[in-house]
Amino acid sequence: MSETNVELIDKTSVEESEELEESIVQYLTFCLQMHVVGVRLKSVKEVMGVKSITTLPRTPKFVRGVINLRGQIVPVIDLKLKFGMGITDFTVDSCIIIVEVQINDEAMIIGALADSVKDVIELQEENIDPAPKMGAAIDSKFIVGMSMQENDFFTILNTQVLFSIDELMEGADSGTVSASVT
Amino acid sequence: MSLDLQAIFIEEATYLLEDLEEAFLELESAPDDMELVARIFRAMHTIKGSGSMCSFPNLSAFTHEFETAFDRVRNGDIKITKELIEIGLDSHGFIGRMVKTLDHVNPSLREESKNILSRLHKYSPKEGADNPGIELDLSAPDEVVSLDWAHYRIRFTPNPGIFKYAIDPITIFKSLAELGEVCNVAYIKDIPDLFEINEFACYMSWEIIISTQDSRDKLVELFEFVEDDCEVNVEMINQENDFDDDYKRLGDILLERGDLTKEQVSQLFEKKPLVGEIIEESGLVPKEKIDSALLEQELVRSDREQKKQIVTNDSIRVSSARLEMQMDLVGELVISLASLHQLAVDRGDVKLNAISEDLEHLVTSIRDNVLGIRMLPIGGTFSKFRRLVRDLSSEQGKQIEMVTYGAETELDKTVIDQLSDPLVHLIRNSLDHGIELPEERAANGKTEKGFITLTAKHSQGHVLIEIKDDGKGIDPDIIWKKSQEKSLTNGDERPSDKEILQYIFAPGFSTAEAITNISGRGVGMDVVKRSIESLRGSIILESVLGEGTTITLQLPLTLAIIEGLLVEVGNESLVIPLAMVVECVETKKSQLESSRKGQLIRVRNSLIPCLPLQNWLGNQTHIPENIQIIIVNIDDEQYGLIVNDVIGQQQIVIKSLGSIYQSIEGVSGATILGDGAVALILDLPQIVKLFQVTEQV
Amino acid sequence: MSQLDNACKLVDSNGVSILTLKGKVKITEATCLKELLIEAVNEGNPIRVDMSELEDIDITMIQLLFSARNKAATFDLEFNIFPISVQTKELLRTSGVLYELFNPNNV
Repeated sequence: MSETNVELIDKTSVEESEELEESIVQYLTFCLQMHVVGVRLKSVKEVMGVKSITTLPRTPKFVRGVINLRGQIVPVIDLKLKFGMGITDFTVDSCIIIVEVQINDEAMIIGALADSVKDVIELQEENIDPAPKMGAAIDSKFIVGMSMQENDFFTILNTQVLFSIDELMEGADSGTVSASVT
Repeated sequence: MSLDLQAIFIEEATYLLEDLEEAFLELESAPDDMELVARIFRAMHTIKGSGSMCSFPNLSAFTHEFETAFDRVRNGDIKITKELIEIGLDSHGFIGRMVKTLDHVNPSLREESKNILSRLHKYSPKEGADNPGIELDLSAPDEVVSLDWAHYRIRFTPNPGIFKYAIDPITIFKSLAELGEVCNVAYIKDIPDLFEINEFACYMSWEIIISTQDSRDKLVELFEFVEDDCEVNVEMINQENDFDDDYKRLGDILLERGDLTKEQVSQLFEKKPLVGEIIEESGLVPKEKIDSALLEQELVRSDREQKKQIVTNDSIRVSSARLEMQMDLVGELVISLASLHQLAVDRGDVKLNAISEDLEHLVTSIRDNVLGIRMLPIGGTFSKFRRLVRDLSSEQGKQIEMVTYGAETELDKTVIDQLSDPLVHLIRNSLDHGIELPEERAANGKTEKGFITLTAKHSQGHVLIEIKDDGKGIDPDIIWKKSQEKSLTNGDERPSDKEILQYIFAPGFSTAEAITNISGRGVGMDVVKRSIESLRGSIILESVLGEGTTITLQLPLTLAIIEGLLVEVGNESLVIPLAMVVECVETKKSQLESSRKGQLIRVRNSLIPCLPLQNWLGNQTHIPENIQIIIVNIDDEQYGLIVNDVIGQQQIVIKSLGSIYQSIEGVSGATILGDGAVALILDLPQIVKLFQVTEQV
Repeated sequence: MSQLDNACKLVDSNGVSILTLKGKVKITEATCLKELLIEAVNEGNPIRVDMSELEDIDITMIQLLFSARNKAATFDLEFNIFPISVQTKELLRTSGVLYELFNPNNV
């Protein structure tokens, strides 16, 4: 019976329930300008250097384009543009964090641009503080919570909201294209 | 019912049954798993639906009962019990047997269904215990539903005096031929010498093998008048539906028929393996008898093979996921090869170049092979439509015959899968709006029966599918009026009839008056057009008032790989499907002619509107002075795509952009170039729409 | 008996006995047919049976045909059947003798 119950619960909750037992979650933290943000390490597939990105027309500005990840076409999101922090310029430290998210019950691979990768941090559930209602650099709907431990202060991103269809298409160009040649 | 349809159903059912069994077995260890219950429900539902569509009404009726009970489980009204699983597994077996008998309910199956359903009805209290149970149509199957052909052997030895009763065996043979397929062998050995023969006596006897759907009684009936003085022996051959490969050997057949004794047979068998010859040589049995036995053997054999063909179709089932993966890998191979080729060219290495060319041949063969696996004849889809036409036309009181040509034409499975809905829509349109009622047709000097012709054929790397009806055609005046009412038109100037007809494909054209319960459902021709375009196909409508309408779909052979023209726009590489390219023109920006609608290019004597792809790409991409213009043909209109440069023609492996961005306008997919970079593949009809330079017709 | 004469006719044409069967040749014509066949065999010339205008037959006719063919074979006479009408061919097939009748090895 218990076995059946587990099967009925969707995957993310399973992960949560397992982690609840352990009460410890690992986060990958990275920098967006001076902001440090983190995502669950479990959802991170890999971190790669920036390679040539092909522009994807008529998508929101923060969609920098698509890359070839071993034969798979993966969209790359400029998180700083999404959060209104300006465009990400590429440096030697720039990288693309490849994350897997569930969109409409389908596992999707998305790349997120970061200025640099920082650390892997283990956190006790109880050490996560709720997101501030206002005043944060990042819209609170994208935030799961904050971690403030000694010198390590970072914002935990809600990838399920951030990488939802609505958010990923928000602000896409839908007008007509001018035929004038200038 | 067509064998094709039957074969499709059998294959589908076999697959579903496997799934069903698995689900029931899993349910045993996890009785509360609603996911499994839903899976079972779905499988049953599909069997029910397909069964009723493919003329398995009894099976469909049975699964309906089952579905009802499981719906209650699904809704949480009742719980899964051991007994219910038991019933489920029994049903699974029963369905399997029904599929094998092609929906023919024989007495043992009838018992079985009664048994299962009575147990099942305990779980559907609404219907109560007094429910008679199965509403299976058990009365008629022998005449209507049964498709089992039985073979009978008739030995007929008339009394020599039979002619005196004015009975001619030929009359009997003729009646037999009406009941089924007949093979008749006459024994003539007893006919005496011409100088001694009594012309009024019968010396011949016959051995007849008949394949029929009629019962044995019906056969015996034919011999009723002669029964008393003649020897008539009707026997069923191949009584069990056993699928053993070996049918009784010839010797055994003769033995069974008493033409040889056991001793004679075993003696003969010691000699040589070719039984037919031995027996003939030995002279123990007249030649005709052997012929007839051979005939029997062949008949049973061909019947078995046919049955087997229906069941297995001589194929293996491979999941489409595996096929997709195979295709992906081949795609990777093509891409790697392109890199290798690039390297060879860059280095100017002749040897490496030779290797890459060899590899290219190999990869091309592998690719063609894998693509071939994905190709299926379109006939399966066609036969579904025949059924649709038959049912719907009788509902509407119309006489319509559907004729199909080119059912063997092969198309990529993905294309076929996605083609079904648009085709149903188009055929329904023909049925509903095209073909007139018989009286109306007769009044117009047409045959009462209308025809819908469905043709598939290959043409220049494409597949053309034509849906043609000889109905009343489309009146351009009505279309023009409706288009104006719906403000779909630009101005009041009436374009040519041909142009007016294209308004049918405009979004929002489908009119309330035009919608009936059949064609209706609010799906307009614009949706059909869009789905065809999403398959990188195009649609052309022609109609002659009073004579009929023809719709032609042009479709690519495959969705996986296309020939593409690689071009450079800004800093990006883009792929234009080569099939739409007419020509490339090198020109200068300053030489374009301006007009109200934008720039035009003069090619020979026509002015073609230009679409600067740079503007679509965005980022204020600069357009250089020296440009290339790719003339493309979209929906019979020509457009010039302004690009910076042409890189070359290339085989393009199509990759999906993923579910988030696959719907962005102007892009149908992406591909990976030799250097590993991604290039977008243009969806030209959408691009044209985006620029809004479409000459409003 | 003009009808009878019409149905079966034996003529000699350049040393070939041609037996023409027309219309219906059934039990009522059996005796006549038998006599003509015997006559043809006795003549000792090659025999040809013309069934191009034959419409209907019965078993008596088929039996006589086989009997005559066998007799001709024992006399070493050619025995051919041609031309043959479609209906007749079909009737012979229905009666299970078509193959036998036209297979020379069976003589």
